Amino acid sequence: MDSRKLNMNSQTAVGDRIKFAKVAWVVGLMLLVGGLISPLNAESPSHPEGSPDLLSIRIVPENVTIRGAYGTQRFLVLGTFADRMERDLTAACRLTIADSKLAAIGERGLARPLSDGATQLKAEFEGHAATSEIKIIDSEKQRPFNFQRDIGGILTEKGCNGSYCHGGVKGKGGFKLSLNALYSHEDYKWIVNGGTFQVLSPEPAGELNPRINLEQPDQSLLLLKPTFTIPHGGGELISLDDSEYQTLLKWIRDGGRYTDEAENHVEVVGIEVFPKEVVLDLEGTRQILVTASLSNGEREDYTNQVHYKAINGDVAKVTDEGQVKAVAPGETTLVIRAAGHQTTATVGVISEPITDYPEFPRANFIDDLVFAKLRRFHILPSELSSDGEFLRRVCLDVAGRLPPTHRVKEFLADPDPDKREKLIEVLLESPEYAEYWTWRLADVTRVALYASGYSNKGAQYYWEWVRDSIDRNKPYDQIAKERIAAQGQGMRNASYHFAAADNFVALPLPETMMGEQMRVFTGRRFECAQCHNHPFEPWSQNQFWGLTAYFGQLAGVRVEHGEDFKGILVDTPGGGYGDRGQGGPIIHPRTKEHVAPSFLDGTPLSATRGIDPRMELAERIVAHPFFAEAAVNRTWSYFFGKGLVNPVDDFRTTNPPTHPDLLQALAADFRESGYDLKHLIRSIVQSRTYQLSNRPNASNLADETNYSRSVVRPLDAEVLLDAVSDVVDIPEVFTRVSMGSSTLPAGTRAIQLKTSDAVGSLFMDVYGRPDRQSIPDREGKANVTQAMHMLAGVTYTEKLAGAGGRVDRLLNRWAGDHEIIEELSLAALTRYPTEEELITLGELVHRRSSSLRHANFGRVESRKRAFEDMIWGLISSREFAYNH
Amino acid sequence: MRLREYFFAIFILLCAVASTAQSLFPPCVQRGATLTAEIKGYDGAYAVLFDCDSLTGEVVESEIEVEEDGKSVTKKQYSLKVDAAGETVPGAHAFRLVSPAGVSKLLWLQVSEEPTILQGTTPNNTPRDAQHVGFQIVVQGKLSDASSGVIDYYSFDVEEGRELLFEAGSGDGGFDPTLTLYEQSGSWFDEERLKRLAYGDETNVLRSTTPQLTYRFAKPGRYFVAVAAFVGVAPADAPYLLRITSTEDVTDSSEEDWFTLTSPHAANTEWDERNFDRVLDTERIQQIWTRTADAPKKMVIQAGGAAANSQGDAQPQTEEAAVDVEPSTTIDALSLASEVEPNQTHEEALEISIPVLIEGRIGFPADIDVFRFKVEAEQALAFEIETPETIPPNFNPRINVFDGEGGELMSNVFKHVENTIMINSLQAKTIYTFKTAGEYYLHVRDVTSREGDERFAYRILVRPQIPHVGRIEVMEDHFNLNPGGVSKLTANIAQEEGFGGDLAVTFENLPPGVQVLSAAEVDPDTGVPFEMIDKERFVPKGQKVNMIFLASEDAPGTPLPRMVRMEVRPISANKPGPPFLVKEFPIMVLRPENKDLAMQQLQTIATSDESSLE
Repeated sequence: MDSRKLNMNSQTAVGDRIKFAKVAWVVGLMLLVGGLISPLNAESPSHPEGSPDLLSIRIVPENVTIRGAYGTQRFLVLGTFADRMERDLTAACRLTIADSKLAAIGERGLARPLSDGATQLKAEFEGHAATSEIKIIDSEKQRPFNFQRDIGGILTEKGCNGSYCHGGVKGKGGFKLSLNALYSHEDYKWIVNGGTFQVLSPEPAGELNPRINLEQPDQSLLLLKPTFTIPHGGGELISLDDSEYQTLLKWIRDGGRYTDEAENHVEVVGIEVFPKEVVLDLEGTRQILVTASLSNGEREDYTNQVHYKAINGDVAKVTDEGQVKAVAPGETTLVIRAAGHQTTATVGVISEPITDYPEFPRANFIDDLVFAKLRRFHILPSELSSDGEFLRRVCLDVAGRLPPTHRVKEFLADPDPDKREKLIEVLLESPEYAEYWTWRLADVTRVALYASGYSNKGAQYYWEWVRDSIDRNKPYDQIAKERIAAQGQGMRNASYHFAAADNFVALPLPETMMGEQMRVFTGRRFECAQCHNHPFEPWSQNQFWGLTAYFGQLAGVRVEHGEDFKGILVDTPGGGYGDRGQGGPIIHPRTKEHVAPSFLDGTPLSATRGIDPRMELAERIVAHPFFAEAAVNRTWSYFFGKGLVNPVDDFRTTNPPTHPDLLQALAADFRESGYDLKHLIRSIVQSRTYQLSNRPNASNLADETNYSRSVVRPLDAEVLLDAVSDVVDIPEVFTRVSMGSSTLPAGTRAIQLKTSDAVGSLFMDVYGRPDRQSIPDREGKANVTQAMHMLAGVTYTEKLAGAGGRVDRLLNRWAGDHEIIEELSLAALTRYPTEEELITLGELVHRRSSSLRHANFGRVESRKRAFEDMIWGLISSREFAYNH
Repeated sequence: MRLREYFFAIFILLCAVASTAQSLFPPCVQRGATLTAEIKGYDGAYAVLFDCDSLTGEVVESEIEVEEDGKSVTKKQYSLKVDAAGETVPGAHAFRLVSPAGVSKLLWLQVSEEPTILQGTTPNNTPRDAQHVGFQIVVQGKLSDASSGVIDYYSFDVEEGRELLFEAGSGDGGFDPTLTLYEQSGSWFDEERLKRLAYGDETNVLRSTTPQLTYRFAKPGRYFVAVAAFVGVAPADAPYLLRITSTEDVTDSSEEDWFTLTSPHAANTEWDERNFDRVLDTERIQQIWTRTADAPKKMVIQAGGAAANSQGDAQPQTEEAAVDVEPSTTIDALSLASEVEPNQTHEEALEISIPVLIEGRIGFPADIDVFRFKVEAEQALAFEIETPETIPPNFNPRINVFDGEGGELMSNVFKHVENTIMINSLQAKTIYTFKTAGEYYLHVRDVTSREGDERFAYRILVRPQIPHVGRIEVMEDHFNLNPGGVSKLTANIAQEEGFGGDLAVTFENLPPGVQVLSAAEVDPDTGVPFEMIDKERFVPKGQKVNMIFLASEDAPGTPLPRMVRMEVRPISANKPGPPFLVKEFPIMVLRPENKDLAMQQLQTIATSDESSLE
């Protein structure tokens, strides 16, 4: 063939394809964001004109005891309005104390004790009134000093021990503090003795310059720095008049002693925030109340003793005193830190309140909890998805592939009201389900040639374990136990992950294995605690190495017979990891002491389980609440594009779930089902939440958090490639390029690849195929390379031009243009084309076909090329490449 | 027609030309039936030697017309016709071909209980084109192009509840087959697709190139089994055997290892000291003595009961039994002990006296069997382990010896470095010299804490160390010498338990004109120094002996192979021990007239056989 002709045709093809792409883009836009221009549906309430009516007011707390000379209590006056909003009226209302000799009240609701006794706080606003009972005890008695609460409290409130300041890994400016005063004994040592923190040694480095000066207390670094008397990177945090300054100065003058809570017999056991969930309109503000629970059962107002931070300041801001102000519609987390404790609250800012919020049908408990939050946040869920939308979505999510065209026609025409439920059951029992979820689980468990020490047998046997687990719908706790505590050898044994190469070259370090297992099965990232206490979470280095020690006896043993041998993974009492010649039992990197296995809560390894420590660890993990939460969260993310906690393996106090009650309910249901993955998947896809349309309404347009509409998600690389192959009906040909070169059997799908990293595929690489060298994080973000690949990549060019595909078949039986357009639309988009699309695409195909005929192509060839271009337009569209 | 002169039976016919790849297809014959298989790579073959009397055959030469450069050319084709008598043991059998190029290496022929069929001539590379077969059958197929993703499909019908065993092997086909079982249930997405039921790529033995797959079919219907090459690696037209049998019909345990059955004749000279499946019985010590320079000893066996534990639960009933060996002096008594539960702790330990042959079972996961024994200071013992029922990698016995305070003295885990990687390997034998007299505890368990059941049987022989000649490994298994030519044989000799004597090597039945020149060299110690390595406890010192076979210029041809016996006599303190057989192998001196002479010889023998029959 003339190469110039080929090039010319290619250019023409690209130009025409762009036209098709534009059509597809328009079509996709209409489908995906049609709701942008559509009005609210008929069920949407009308917005009340003018200010809403105030219905009632209340004071929080309604009953309180103030203790000690310096005890205070912040009160909050909340008004309930006709638009279902609760607003903070504290600053606007009139506050009075019934007996003014007992207590005084400030204008922002801060009460101070004057004398012991009982009285009442009264709030009045626009004819509404509310009261709160106040009891005052020990008004002349000072609370005993406590280093963590008093000194650590100041350091926490002022943010000194935050992770970006002295609470960071190595501290700041040579001064190290524990995050939130979590390890107050160590803080005391650094303050009183001085010295610089070292990662690999418990000994301080540098000169030991104490940060307090007992001879000249006001010359202590601990005071000179935060008052900016001498240069301080953190600037001026307190002034000489502040009570915090006086507290610090007094402590130093009194000798700088460490007095702990044990000596006072009263500890802070936790802090609570009110409200846990704040809903503000665009003008809204709200005071946050924080209360400490004490070990003696008493409660104490901590509102002024904590540090506040809004994670997303574009949604809401918070003052140092805990007053939240709306900025823009959205949702953010408010992190509240006290000495040794932290908690969070959720702040939602709505654009417009919905007074008459309608009821929506609910399929199961998922809807109860999702819709309840939507109601609180004044967001209306989108309508139920169309049958076509649902069919495409559920097929991709449950079986990883598009429905065939005859099934689409069948489903769309089926009048059975239960057809969705029936389809779900069919999909859950399909061989495609087994293949797809094997691929999903193989991602998490990192089945790959590289991860198995480049052992083909090892990797493939490991894959077989995953496959068998899915085939048998093995309880997820059993899967976890088999993976965490893998021993032995063989095809149906997860140990191949660790001992794949038979010579154990792939055996990772114990701390690596521990970190990965905890990340997958508890959703927590402990790795940061490897070299130091976790900078953001209360995970200590001791906990990290205690967990690691469960893997310290892991060893590989080889059995031989002549030239043949096989690796067996075992736990060797008293030896273990040292058998590989890389050291003996687990040694703490800082203390250099042997570490015994101990679980998160410090529970040591049972004496009777010495020969099988990892099984005990596995049993403890699956029995821990973290386990089910992590499992349901990860599974949820497969259907909604993100977890209730996101990233799915980054559960943190400072990264709370968007729907904590839903997370708990899903976890409880998962536990009760016997950790049945299929049951969990069924619950999710049966929910109306899952089956909502992606078309937004006016109230949920900005919502990206609350599942008020279906989340549009890019297809994963493997699923996308299979989908392209299905639409053109030409199977992809896969070739192994690593550890052997051979072509995989005809018809092999991308999600069926056992060791995807051994198979060359530019397409999958461009679209984000992970190599599984670490736990995959499939973000699926679009990039320029993908755009280039769409224009010139082999998948989008050669595959379309391949012989024997869908277009060939249709042309060979002389199908009309409209029939072909309809068939291609059903295959790619799971829907019939609209009238407009039929006309527009028909014209485009006709024009393109005619121009090709003028270029001396035959009639059949011209039509074929025109339809290839149309397919290109379809598979290049967002509507095709995304699940929605 | 039978030639007693040779170890193998020999049958002869024609001769011929050069060859390319060496193969035999089909490679399986049902016992009681006849097979005609095409030979490639042994052009001119005129005789075949089998490893047992129940297999007989002949090489048949024929002519075929082939197209070459557009012309019709006549070429010779060779095939092997085999008659398998009804009593032939099923399994893999060895044979050799004789051609003008000499005697071949050992080749393998599979004998089946089941009828054999050939793969059809039409492609069966998709489920739709699957070849329908029954079960109780052996399919002989060729994977045409595995590297291009080609898979062979076979369909079969079964009734509800039937359990079938599927096995595949490639013999010398040079690939690793896999088996996948499917049902034809279709799916909502694709009514014709197969649903995968099971995958097989493992056997019960360490070798993983003969996959076994057992499946019980819950419902009746049509099913499929697919034969593929692991990761698509196989030469073109790679031959394979697929055996489908009902597990109810597999009654003989040897049937379970159909592909791994060792040829009885090939194995008879193998001395095994380092594998868990060698037999440890009451004759083991006598067998070892025969490999020393000392005269045979007499040993008394104390047999008949379990060993006593410290709580007196088990009462051994000791009695003496004669040993069928040539006696000279009595040196010791071998006691027999059977494990009795509970014996998990030192308090429950069963008492044993050395030398002892212990029998026991790791009856449940994490089961540990503990035995107590006494030794003298500097007593040197050998610990040998056998797994008579379930072998590694399924049962992997680990033994440890502890002192009374719980300190571990030794185990059968050999730590060593291979290619800079630290390896722990589980050994079937270890030796240890106790520094201090006293009471010690032998622990036996599976190396995992998860495995164990009634099939996890073990035998442990604890005995004094006996310096002896261990395994003698000779890689070469046949020699074809041209007149005036030489060929080298290397024997690697294991010097077990401190054997430091010499060896005298002799060869019997050499062809006329062939002599042996020998030279010995010490095997250099190439181990990597590593403080954890206690190499001598697990690896015997080695000796390498090189021997040169020299055929003189005027050496007469050897029309048919001569079986040469290689024997060794251990020599210690200038005293020779008894000779023992190391290996038998065929040797030929190649002369152009060999074939004709062979034909004459065989004709003569055939005539005399016929005369004797008359």
